[in-house]
Amino acid sequence: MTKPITTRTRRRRRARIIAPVRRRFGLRTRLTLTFALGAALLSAVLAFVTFGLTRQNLIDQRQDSSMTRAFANADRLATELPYSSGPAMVTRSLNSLSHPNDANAVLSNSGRWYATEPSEFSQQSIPEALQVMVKDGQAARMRTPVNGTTQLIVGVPVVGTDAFYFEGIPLTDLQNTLDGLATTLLIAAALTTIAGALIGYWASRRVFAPLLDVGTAAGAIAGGRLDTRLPEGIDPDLDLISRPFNEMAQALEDRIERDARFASEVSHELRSPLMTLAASVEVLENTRDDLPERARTALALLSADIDRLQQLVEDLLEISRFDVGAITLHLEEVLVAELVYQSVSVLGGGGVPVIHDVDTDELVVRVDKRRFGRAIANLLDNAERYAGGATAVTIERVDDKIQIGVEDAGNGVPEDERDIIFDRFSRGSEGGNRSNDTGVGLGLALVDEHIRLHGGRVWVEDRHDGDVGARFVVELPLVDPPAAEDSDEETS
Amino acid sequence: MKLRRFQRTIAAIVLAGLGLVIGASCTIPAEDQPQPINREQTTTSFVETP
Repeated sequence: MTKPITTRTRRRRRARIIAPVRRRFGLRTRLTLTFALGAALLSAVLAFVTFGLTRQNLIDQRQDSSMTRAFANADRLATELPYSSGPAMVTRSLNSLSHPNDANAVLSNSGRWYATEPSEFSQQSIPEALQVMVKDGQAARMRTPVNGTTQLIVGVPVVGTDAFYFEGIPLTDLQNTLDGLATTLLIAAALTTIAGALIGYWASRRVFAPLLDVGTAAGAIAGGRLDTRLPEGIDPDLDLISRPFNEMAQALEDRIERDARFASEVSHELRSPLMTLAASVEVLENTRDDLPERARTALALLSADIDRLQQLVEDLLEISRFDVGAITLHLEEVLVAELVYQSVSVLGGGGVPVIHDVDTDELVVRVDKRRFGRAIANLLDNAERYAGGATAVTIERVDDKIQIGVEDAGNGVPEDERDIIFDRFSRGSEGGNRSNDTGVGLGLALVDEHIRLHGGRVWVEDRHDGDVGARFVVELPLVDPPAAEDSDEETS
Repeated sequence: MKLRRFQRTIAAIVLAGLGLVIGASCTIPAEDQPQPINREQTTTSFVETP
């Protein structure tokens, strides 16, 4: 007993067939192919119908004219043969008949056969069945292959005599006409298919343009431009996408703003008591020597935690400013090498070598010096906390961008953590392993925010020299970069 | 893999069949049996014109 095919089974089968097609071809390609296939099918059907009707019409016309002529010739023979007393007279009567040059006539008169000359068409060319039917007194026709070509043979009994007239008409010219028609229709079908594909491609571009807009808008929102919206009211069908999208974007913006405001307000509220606490601890620190040993240890712990809490509050305030878009950049055009030197030395990283090519000396970037310095400081601080300190800061030019690398000799950052390490409150596996770690996981997130605000990006990779360690890279666009030249490396 | 080979075989057979059908439809078909034909008799009458 077979199981009935349910709708679900049908859907599964259809999905099994369609899924590989979807995987192989994109939506736009599929739409283009559908148009091309539709045009091909339509043009093929039209070509078949046109060819079929034309072929039948031409064959019918040729048959009608051939039959009419054969009947006329048979009538003429009916009047002449009774008076033709010998083969010579019969031949004369046959020669007087009218028929096209390529047509051949065969006559059976009282058991003797006569044929036009020179010709390969004779009584042997006439099918037996046709001869029998005509000899029974029934005029008939038949399309049959003779010497490799299809011929139309018309047989007519000659009235009042013992004669039967046959005429063979080659259909080669008709076949040539049909071949030409088939070629024309084939070319037309191919052109129609190409036109269908082009229209499909054009239509797919038109149809998917709004979807690309959705993608662009989503990308802009993901990039921090939360006020990005899709246009509404242009097309009622597109409104079905744009309206919910805009509602979602608005809800997202409201939510992020609310969260940022909450973090900002909490940080503000915490800052004042923290400052009081810090001042009190400072007072206690001044009288540290008078305190008993246990109180000194407690004071050290308290002082460290207050420092950490203050750093956290500062970072939270900074990051909430990013979220609400309250950051104003004071951009200046500065020499990148000089800026990096300053940033490293100001942070007490004088021992960290800055390695760069000579041709990077004159390269200029447009940055907010304070925020750029903060980003470099955070990277150096990160190296200090988790990798025993930075080993080098490199400056390299890559096309029209500058890459500033902060290298360390730590354990490196595993591949699967390289993206999430820049998320907020993400400290990676290395951060969690340190018992004396005082970081909160906002330093690299702030670096990412600062650099993105400058139109650049930051990532982490392995060191280029093959040694173990991480290399945090800040990439910024150059201002009017001169043509790149080969030059020597300089270390300071 | 087997299913894909089977699909390819079916597609090749279908395409070959389609090619044969198109090729056959492009030629004038021959007939197996003769077709009887009847002469259409039309009667034409004439009158004297002035």
